[in-house]
Amino acid sequence: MSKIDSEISKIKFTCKDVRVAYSGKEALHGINMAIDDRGVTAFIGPSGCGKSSFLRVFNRMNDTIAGCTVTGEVYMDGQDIYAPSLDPVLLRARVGMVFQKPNPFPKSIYDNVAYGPRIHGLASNKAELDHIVEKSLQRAGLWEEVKDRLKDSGTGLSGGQQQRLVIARAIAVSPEVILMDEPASALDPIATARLEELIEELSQKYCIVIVTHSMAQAARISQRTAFFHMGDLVEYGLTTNIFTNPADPRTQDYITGRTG
Amino acid sequence: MGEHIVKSFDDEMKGLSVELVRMGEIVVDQITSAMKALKSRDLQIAERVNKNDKQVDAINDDIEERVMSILALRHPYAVDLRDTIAALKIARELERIGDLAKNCSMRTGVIIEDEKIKGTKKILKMGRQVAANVTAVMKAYEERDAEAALDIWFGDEAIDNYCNAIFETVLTGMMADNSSVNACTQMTFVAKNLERIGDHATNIASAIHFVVTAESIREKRPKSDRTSTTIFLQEDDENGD
Amino acid sequence: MPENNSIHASEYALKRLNKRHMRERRFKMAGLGAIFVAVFALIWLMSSILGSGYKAFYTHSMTMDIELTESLLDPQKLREPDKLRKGNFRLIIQNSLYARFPDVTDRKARRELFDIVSSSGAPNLIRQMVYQNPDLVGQTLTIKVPTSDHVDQLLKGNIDRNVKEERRKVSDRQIAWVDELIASGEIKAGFNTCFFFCADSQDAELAGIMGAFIGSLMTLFITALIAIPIGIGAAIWLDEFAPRNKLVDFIEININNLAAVPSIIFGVLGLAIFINFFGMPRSAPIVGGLVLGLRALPTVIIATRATLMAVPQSIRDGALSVGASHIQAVFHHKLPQAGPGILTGSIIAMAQALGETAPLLMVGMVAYLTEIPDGVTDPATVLPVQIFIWAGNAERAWIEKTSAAIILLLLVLFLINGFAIWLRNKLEKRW
Repeated sequence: MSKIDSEISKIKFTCKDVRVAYSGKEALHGINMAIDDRGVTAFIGPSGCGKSSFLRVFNRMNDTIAGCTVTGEVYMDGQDIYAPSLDPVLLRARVGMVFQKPNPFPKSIYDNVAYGPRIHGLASNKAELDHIVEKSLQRAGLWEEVKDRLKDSGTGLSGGQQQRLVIARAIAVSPEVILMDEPASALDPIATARLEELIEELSQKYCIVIVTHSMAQAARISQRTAFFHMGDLVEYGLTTNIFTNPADPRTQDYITGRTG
Repeated sequence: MGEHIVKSFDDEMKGLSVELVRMGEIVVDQITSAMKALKSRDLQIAERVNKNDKQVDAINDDIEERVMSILALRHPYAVDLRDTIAALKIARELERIGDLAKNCSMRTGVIIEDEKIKGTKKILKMGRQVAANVTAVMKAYEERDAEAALDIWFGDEAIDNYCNAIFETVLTGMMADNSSVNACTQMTFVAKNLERIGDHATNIASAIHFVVTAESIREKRPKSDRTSTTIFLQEDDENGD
Repeated sequence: MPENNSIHASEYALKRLNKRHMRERRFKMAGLGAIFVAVFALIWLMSSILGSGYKAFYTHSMTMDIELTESLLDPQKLREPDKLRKGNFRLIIQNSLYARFPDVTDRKARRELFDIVSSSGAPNLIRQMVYQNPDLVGQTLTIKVPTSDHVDQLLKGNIDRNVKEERRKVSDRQIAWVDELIASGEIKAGFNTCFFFCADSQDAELAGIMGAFIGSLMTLFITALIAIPIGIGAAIWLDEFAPRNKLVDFIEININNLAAVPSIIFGVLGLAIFINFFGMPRSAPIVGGLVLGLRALPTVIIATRATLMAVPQSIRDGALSVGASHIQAVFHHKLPQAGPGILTGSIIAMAQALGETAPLLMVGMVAYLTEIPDGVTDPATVLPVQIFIWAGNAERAWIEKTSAAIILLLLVLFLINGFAIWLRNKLEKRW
């Protein structure tokens, strides 16, 4: 895989006929789509439409669910991430994930961020690790709030802080992509705004794919939006177009709050 | 199109539409009345038009308020968003049309003082056409008919032609008889006002087209208004949009 | 009641409401009654055990002057400990007693007199002293020797003095002597150290629980060694790594069944496999521990799985999402979170094992042993089995011993369970 090629094409992921099934019951019916390398791509759609399942395709988190099977092809920078030779553990270091409910480890703030670099051996000494932790927390916009209490438990932070801590934890292993599964659904508006500001900032450097139930959020932070409905990708395009002039009546009905 | 899951949202959107249609009706009535005042040389009617304009302004304020509340509380997307924004635009256009109708009626007093003034018939004919256009465009709005809107948009050329003809008649009249300059000048203003009303109607048509298709009308509108070059005046690019 | 015409304020509704409240009160009363019965039973049990058991914690001993006559013990004046040990200390004690009561000359009376003190306890005590310090020979010592269990029982009021002489264990003469010795302060009550620090004995006054206690410790050690690592390992595998198929389902069901299998079956298994097949020693803590280990295994597995399942999936997902391998996610995050729960579960499984009796009877841990075991292959017994043995003895003195041993066993169990609860409350993570 050549990095330069993908930079030119600006495509991070290419999916061909991706199908996800749980215990034989198909939840996604053949998705074809390409995801941009930089910026934010939002997945919207009603509950159970398969958007979260699809998100988990990109870091193979579906592998950890018993009975879940993924077929089709997914290329990241031209490399098949479902190839048998590819180790999902390494893939997940390249494709970080932030979950709906903030899930910091019940350890100190420092250990939360340092965990990834430790298991991947990214730091050769304590000073380097300190540096990674500080940089990650700074990039996640949390450093100023926690720098004096790095030894405190990560679970003692507020919801918004926890979510930013989790982002710092993901950033610490230097991923290329950050997947976010409804990251603001448990946060208050202020914490949500801070998170959105952070996502916008991170999108300069990372490929961000976000699943959200908040249409306003998708509209605010994403450049591209994909609308999923009953396991199908109904519409995918520039966010502005989706929210002013959706092509498909199902998209129209969903985003305008009409009964389909 | 299906109904909104939140019923009150539907009610609000409908209310907005109804209010706008009502505003359109009043505005058309204002144009017709202004013409009637001119035709029957009745200053009382002119005065009534003058007074009624406040009603138009009030409806405009009401629509602005409704739009604001929908934007703030409902966060409309897609067709709802276009509809809401278009309502704001159309109300504004109608309000301007109302102003222009009022302006016409205000000039009636000077015009009817001149017994011999020529071109009144042409003005009245133009006025009917303009009123018909506004009626049609509001019907197109009510029915969200992009085709009809497009027709009106293209149909504005006829009004421009009326305007040109009136200018020629009135200017000729002025040149022939110095004493009619006062009335004739007002007459040209009335003609110009009616021409402007036609333009506003096309703006409404374009807004309707956007609501329905989410695209603005790409083609350049046919322009036949030559009044700016016919005689004296300096450049008048207000005619463009 | 609000003054309105709502259907909820109608007469019918109010009547119904009243009925519903009545039903609730009845249910509450029934629950309270059940608790009352349970508490009453517990109090009865505890008070009867405590009532008869507390007497075992004190005992009577007699202070006497003992002349270690050289001519009797060491006529050659060699002062060799091994030879001294074989001396007739019984006679020494007897002589001391005869000296105390010079009027008693009758053979039968003299035998009765000697029966005041512990017939093997008293001579052994002196024998031990002389063995350790041969220079004592020839001196006259003032020491405390245990009284016989009959005297002890008499003084504790367990033997009725009004009963006809031939129907009680203590004769009228003995009662007179004891009363005299009590009056003179020579027989006194004191803390029963022997009960805590001696091994079992045929003489009730000399029997202690130390042997059984050490045996229990050794057995539990083996049990823990077997049950905890294997149990936790099996639970982790089942919870995290086991494929979903019929075989694994079958294993899971059987683990649950195993927890309900009568424990004596495990004893039979131990007898057949460990003793008969592997030829391990009978009555040894190693075999008992292995058997109890198997017994505790399903409990540990079930408790561990329950706590592992209680750890939120999101913690594991978080670890996986930063590129931790499955095993890292389990060992770095899930296991530490489940730790307190696993610990509590294991401790409770150990407490259960501590109370097990039946399977140990099968592997021979019911032997009568007067020695405190030195290692896991030495014959030993455990606390509950000791209670079982003592409960089978006929003499009056054993009743209080049995009760006291039960008290101690319960105390140990309470302590263990209390420790487990404390640990859980202290370490438990809340999400």
